[in-house]
Amino acid sequence: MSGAASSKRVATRADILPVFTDRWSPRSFTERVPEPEKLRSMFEAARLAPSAHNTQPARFLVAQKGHGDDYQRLFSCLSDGNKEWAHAAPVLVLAAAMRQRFSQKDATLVPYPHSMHDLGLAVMSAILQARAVGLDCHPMAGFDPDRARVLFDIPALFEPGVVIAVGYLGSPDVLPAALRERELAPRTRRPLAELIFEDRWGVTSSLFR
Amino acid sequence: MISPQHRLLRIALAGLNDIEEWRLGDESLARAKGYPREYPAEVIDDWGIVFVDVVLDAATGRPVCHEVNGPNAVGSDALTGDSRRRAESEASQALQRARERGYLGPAGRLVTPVVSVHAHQHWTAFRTGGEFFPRVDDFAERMQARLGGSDVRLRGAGEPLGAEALTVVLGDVPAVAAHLGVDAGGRLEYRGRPVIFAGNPNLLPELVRTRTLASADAALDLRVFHAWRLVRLIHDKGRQQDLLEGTGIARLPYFEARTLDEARRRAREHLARGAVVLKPNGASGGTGVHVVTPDMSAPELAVRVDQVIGDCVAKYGVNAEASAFPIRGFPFVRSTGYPMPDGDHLWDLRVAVEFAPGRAEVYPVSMRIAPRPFDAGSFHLDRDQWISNVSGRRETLLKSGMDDAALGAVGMKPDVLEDVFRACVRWTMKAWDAVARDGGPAGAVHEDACEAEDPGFYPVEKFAR
Repeated sequence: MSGAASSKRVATRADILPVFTDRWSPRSFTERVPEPEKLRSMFEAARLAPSAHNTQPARFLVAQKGHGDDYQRLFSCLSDGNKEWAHAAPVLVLAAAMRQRFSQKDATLVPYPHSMHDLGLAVMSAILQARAVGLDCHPMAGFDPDRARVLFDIPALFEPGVVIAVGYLGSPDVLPAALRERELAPRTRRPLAELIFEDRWGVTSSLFR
Repeated sequence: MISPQHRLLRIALAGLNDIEEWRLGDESLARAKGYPREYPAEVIDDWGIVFVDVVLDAATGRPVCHEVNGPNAVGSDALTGDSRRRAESEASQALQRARERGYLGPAGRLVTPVVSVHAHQHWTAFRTGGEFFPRVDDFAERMQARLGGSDVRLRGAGEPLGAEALTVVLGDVPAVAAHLGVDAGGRLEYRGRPVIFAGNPNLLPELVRTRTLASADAALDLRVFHAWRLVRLIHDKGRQQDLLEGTGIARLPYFEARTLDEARRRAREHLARGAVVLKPNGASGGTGVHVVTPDMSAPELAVRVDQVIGDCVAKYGVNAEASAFPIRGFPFVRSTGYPMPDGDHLWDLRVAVEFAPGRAEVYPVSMRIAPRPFDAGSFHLDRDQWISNVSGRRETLLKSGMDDAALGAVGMKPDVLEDVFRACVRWTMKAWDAVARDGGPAGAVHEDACEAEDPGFYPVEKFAR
């Protein structure tokens, strides 16, 4: 495990699976290309994610370096801040959600406000599976969804939600100084007492007092 | 535009009792009427075509659908006189599958020899050649033009394959199915080569009859079939009715029976509400379709039920029962009458829905008019008084689906027709979505049932604000 990865492991009050404690969103990747079977396993995991009405709104577009110009097109959609480091990731994945669902009752498309939630479930499933097979992922909100829509001919029904950098963890030393500092900084999260309530909103649950 | 050789072929086949829907085609009239009409169909993510057979119920005036057929059916040439739009749809899908499966090289040439299979109905001197052969020829030409110079060859189902990159195989369903197999990955292969396109869902029950597949639900990658998500649904006439709910076309109640005894019993129950149409599963061309009426004795009813399966055995041979059950029963719907000198004739209107990712194009195919006037006392003894399936009938009359006078005579006014078109698109989207989410026509999503029962089950407005 690299120094960056070891500094990112968080202490937890409950025993949880290593894929949770070991997972973080790195900015440095090696040139090693993820094996196709590992990428397949990520999307198999995403496929099994739950969704309201079993709508299965998540779609993924995979862009691998050396496979046509897909990678460059998707990379061009990233914000400048993300371009600064994401160029090292050998794989970029665009995740999109079906914005409306088809109502069997009304035989028409209806609003589907849970679409991004369901996409998130699928994305997290993919990310955890990636970790389980030794890959690391960094989901990015900083990208231009309209540009992605045009470049990949994404139908209006689908909303690009996130771009995920996928690869093997690299050394923080290759990053610019500011990014290297963030790469090595400890992973921080709010304590559970601030997140889990009981009886009334805002009152810490007895589980975590 | 019909090419001269296709026109010659069609005229020759007309002498073999071929359906001549191509003669109804009128490109300028279609253009003037705005056909095909395009509708958004956002949830559809692949290519295909369905034919929805609709009547107006004489009792209610409302549209009713007898059944939906898929790419097994014909009529796509009735609009313009040819099926070039359908051939384009088939080629688009075939190319997409070839690309997805890695059979195309960088220049768009095939790097692996592959096959597309195009099967017509079982008829010896069959009824659909005027539509079928020119369409397959058109398909082959389109593939030749888009495969970067790859060699494309048309071959009959009896021929061995050659050195060509794409073999476009033509033949009747049994002849084509005889050389189909399933590889270890559950994909269709033809004489050992991968199949990138299969144009007729009736190959599926044929593969069951010939025991290539253990059952219609056996593991098989259906994505090479045109309208592939609907392949199994095309043979499930009951589920087709369920999916009409909410579309604007009335849903018919029905029963399913898995034995002859059950079919007799269920038919008797349903006869309390009027005549019943019995249909076998997985058949085509009206085979095995019979009408039973409330005044029939038990022995008469039993004979008719036996004939449903007997007809299938006669047409498809031994092991026909492997795909003929369940037998389904539907209420006989008397349509409004088409007035002719000898009385009012029953009719139906076939509507085509050609779809591609994100959109559906709709047009009327033809009005089929029963050869003899309807007589409530004898119709069950005379198939010429009602419509079961145009391809199984010899004397059916045809009118263009663009014939305003004919449509008006049965009450199919322009606004009603537009409602029917929209309902057909809704049915197609509903079916596509249901199969995509359920995994098959037998499935169901619990939340859909909850929502149907309780409008507040998913309070979208509250979540969305």
